[in-house]
Amino acid sequence: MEKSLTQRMDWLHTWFGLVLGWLAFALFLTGTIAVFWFEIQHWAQPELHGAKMLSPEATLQYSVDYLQKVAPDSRRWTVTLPDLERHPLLVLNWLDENNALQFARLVPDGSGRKVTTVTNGGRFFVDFHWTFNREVPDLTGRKFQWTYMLSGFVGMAFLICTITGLIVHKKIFRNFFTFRRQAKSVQTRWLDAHNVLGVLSWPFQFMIVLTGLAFYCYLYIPTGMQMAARYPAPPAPAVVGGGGPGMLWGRYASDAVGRVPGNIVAPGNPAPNVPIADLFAQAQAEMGVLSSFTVNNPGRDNATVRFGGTRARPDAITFTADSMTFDGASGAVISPAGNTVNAVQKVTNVLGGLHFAFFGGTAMRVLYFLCGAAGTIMIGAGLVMFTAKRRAKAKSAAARRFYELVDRMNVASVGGAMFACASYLWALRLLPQSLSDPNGGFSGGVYASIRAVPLDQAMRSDLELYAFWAAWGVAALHALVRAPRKAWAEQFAAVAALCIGLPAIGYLVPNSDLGSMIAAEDWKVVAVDLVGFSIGLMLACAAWKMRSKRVDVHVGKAIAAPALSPAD
Amino acid sequence: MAIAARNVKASDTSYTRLVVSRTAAAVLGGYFVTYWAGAAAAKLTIEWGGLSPADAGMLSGLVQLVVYVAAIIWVCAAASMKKTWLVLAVSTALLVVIAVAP
Repeated sequence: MEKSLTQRMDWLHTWFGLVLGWLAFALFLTGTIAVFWFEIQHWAQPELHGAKMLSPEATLQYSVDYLQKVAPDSRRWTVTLPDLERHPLLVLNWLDENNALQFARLVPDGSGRKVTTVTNGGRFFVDFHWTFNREVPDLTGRKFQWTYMLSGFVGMAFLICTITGLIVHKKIFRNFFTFRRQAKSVQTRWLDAHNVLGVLSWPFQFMIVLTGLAFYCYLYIPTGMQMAARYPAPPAPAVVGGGGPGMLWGRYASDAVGRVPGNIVAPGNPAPNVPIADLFAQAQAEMGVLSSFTVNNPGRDNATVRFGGTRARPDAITFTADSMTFDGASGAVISPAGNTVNAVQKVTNVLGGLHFAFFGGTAMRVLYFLCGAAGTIMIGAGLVMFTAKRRAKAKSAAARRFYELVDRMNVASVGGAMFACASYLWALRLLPQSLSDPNGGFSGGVYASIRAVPLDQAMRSDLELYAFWAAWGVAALHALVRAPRKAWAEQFAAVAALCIGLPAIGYLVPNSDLGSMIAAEDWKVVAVDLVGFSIGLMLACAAWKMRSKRVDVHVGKAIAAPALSPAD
Repeated sequence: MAIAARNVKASDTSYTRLVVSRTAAAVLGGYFVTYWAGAAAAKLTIEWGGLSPADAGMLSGLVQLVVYVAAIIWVCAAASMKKTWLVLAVSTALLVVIAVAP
């Protein structure tokens, strides 16, 4: 074993980084894209493109009118108001005469048009980067699920690599300003790229992986929760507005079509109710922008109206859990606004707020995206550096074969993950809308979890995930059969072509082409198209450099694997 | 020449054993310590700290995260593996006692 502390930390950094770096790259890449998951969700639903939204007050009135028309005798209405800035989708839920949950997903422009495209959209990237698209059946950690354990372990390894990376870099400030682009040794250039990106975005990477792990740490090793559950006091409710992870989960659920509610109160006698618009104005004055409201027993003397504030506000890092409840018949306040979460929940909410970047507006999300991209490239550079450093020095045939395999794995991991993500975006655009789940994806397609169903029974949301995994499989096969240097260039070129083509395929589906979107001032769709296009151009440059003669001559000798003799 | 080759082979074997031991101590040993640290932390914060069970559960999760990261780094930084295994075993035993004691 290495003798000095620095050498031992370097060993840990190198091997944890390599073995888990292949997965860490994919997790970091999808996590970075997930920063804009609302925008991608919007981009993937053509019905919403370019629609002129109603004001919050008009949306509220429209929702109430709609529900009074379709479900006047319902025992509960729940409305998730559109996020006008990021994802303008209006979701109405109500209980029918059998207390079964019904819903409508509408364009919030007052036209009554339904959103029928059921897609995993940007949510896929959120779920992939912590579950690999396997549904987590139980967020209390009582059921073991290897996928989130694996992603948790990768996250842990990444956290350790960020710490050990700091220890091994004694000359951290010098490294920060060192990028020897013209260095003859390819290893030096990859090392500098890895160091510069690592040092530059170190605080972000440490923060993002720490907060991500902290948010669901009780799932990974649930003994603390299990011990706590032995004590008699009731656990904190895992509902929207309850604070902590339950609140986050509630946000996800309510973004789609809501969950089957409990605690249904028996209806009272018919009685006139205070106009919900009046209560809405009061709640808005107290809590600011509202995200949802629930009416129990509308039109009865025991009606209650609960308004939920936005769980994340642009002006606060922490998730908020504010709500306000009124007596629907008298208009009296039953439960005033005000955050009642305690210290531990506050800490968890701040950690969640930091990780999910709902604060600070678009500028903050762009910063997160750039730092995430820097981290992703840093991981990729670290993986490439591993082989660049060792392959040329490999003495035995077995060592050369090992580094050859590592190089192929690098291509399958880095190129493959990017190819899969780009293919997924194409699938979002091109898969027919008619394949959408007619039930609105309530049970199957909302949570981006992969399930094994025959192709003829697969719905749109299934096919989107199949496209992602199939593309990754193809890229991995390609990496195994092609010479690594050619495979790098070809996979980068393929990803570049897919990204550059994103604005073009908008013309193949209705209401998604770039020209119309610019005219309609739907900047979310325009931004996704143009950012994809720009990334495609950068990847095309990278692919061209990898293939060009100049780079081959300059670098080829250093990175090319020594030819194996027939005896090897 | 033969002696040198034998020495190299022996040195390779002991190096492999050391790497396996260190990795196992870091990943598995660290996990066991963390596993019981969570239970002990939850118990202590409820009984001595007066936290509610839900808060204690969440707090113990955060404690576990710190413990696991620190354990892995410490194991890999330690010079002697014998001492490392000993410390892991003793601390696990201590935490088990805290967690299961009535």
